[in-house]
Amino acid sequence: MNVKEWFHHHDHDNVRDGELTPMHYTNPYLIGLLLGIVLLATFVIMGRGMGASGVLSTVVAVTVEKISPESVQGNNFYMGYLGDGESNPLKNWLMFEVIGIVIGGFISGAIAGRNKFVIEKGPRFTNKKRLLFAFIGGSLMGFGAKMARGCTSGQGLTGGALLSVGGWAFMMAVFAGAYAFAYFVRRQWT
Amino acid sequence: MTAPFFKFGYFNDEVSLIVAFILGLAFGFLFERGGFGSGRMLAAQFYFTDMRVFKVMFTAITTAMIGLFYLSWIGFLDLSLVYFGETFLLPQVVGGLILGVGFVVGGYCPGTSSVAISTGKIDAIVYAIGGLFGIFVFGEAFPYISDFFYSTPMGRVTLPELFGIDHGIILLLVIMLAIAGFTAADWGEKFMASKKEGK
Amino acid sequence: MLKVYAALPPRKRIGILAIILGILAAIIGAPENSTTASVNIKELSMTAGKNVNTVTVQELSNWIIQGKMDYRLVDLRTEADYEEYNIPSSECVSMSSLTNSELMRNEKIILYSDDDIIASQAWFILKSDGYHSVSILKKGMEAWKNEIVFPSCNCGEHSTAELKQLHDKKAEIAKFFGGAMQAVDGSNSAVKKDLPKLKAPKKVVLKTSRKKPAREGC
Repeated sequence: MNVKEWFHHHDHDNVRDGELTPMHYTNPYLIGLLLGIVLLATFVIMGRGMGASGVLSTVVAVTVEKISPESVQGNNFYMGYLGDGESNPLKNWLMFEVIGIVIGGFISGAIAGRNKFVIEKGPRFTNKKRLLFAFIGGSLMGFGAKMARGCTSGQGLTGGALLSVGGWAFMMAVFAGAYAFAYFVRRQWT
Repeated sequence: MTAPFFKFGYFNDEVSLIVAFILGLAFGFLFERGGFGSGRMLAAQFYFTDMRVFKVMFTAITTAMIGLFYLSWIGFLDLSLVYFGETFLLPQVVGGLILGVGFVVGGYCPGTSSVAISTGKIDAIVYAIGGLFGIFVFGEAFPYISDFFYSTPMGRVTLPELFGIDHGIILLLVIMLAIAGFTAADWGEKFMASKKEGK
Repeated sequence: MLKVYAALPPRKRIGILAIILGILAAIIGAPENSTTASVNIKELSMTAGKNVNTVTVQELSNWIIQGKMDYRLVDLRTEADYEEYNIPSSECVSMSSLTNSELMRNEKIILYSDDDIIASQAWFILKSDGYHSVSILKKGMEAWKNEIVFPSCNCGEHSTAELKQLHDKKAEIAKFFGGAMQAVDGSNSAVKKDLPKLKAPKKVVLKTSRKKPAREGC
């Protein structure tokens, strides 16, 4: 197999003429089953679940501390992500896990020929607007994730598997919020 | 009890970082393979055209949940040593609502944006930058909202404890809920697809 | 029936398997609250009696003085006895509440009672329940009182500098824990010596507190 082909955009892309053709994604139930097994392995090996939003928080905390150390003193939120001053706060479990997630995703995309610089959006939307919405959505996500002490990976998958009340309540709220607001951004996607 | 291995000292902190990386590789690979690297695919969930997000998440949760139960039952896994966060009901629900809106507006969540970035989605990069901004706003606002942040604490409470029902019965209920949900999701996708044809 | 099962599409097969697992789970109930344990008697009989399972009072006193807080010291006596005097850094847990105590299975646990018997029974219970590191304080409170807090002084026999050093060390340790050297009088009294009342050790300041666990959220 020509390695170059792996990175070349294939004809049967997942988006063509504004239509979604998810033929090259694996069956979601199978993915869910495998994901559940990997999650279980995480519990068994590490005694914790997975997570993702913590990495963004660590980056913010470290950056704010570098720029103005006084503002993080006494702020419990930032201090929680900076550790006890003995070890590098960036050298934590979540950081390495997320780096793995990034690379794992890249490998999967490369194998399927899906790696391509693109801006995902619906056909009725402009690129500029899409990027603006992406930023706004991201900000809401960041704020909400910290308020909820996690995101869909941490609180959702991990908390869900552990049957945590907070995790389940959080997941239901996420779906509720997304469905409720979907109507207002339908032009972005459909 | 043999597991969790790390908590029983079978390997040290340095090795655990390598373990983190390998587990992350698996997560990332499966995420992308399931279509989570595409904002359009993720958002389709909320227009009922592709219920992938629900299917993957709920299957994963159910699978891991069953595994935790049975590994604990045979005395292999010590559940009391698995990290379990405290529940703060109100802020978690409010945070979830906000994140849900952010999900459908931005098209990603933190984990999925990671695989989206590595497969080239520029909007995911912008989304992640937005995420950093949102967390920064939270951090700065924290002294003023910390009362709300710590409100309605319920401790490390599980659904069985909350409802006073056995762990195993909750397991059965979740499995039944999952099957019902998947049946509905499959039906919903077919319905939306046929509606599109009919148009 | 198996033919019908095999004929179903894979999705339905997994669904049925999941339901069976769910029903089985509902029957099992709550595995984390189980009151039975399975004991590996071969392994237990091999490790029992070995020194890995005991801690001497000298070792323990050194650890306390150095401020090493990597263990949980468990006092199995009654609350009243605990209130009257307990070894610094210990916590009071009764035998009956051992199974639903705060003790974690990956912690280093040291048990003591007035002598070895109760501590040994508790050792067996914890080992059967899957605890990895359980030790008994050899001769318990008796040894602690007689060798650490109120060691006897063979005051006439300080022939070598080494023995003098040992003697001084013992006296220092005794003082640290609020006790004192006891002079041995010539008369071999069969009467049990009445040790001075020991107050709960407020004077002993433990140097280090327990290590804060690393952040494990998401």
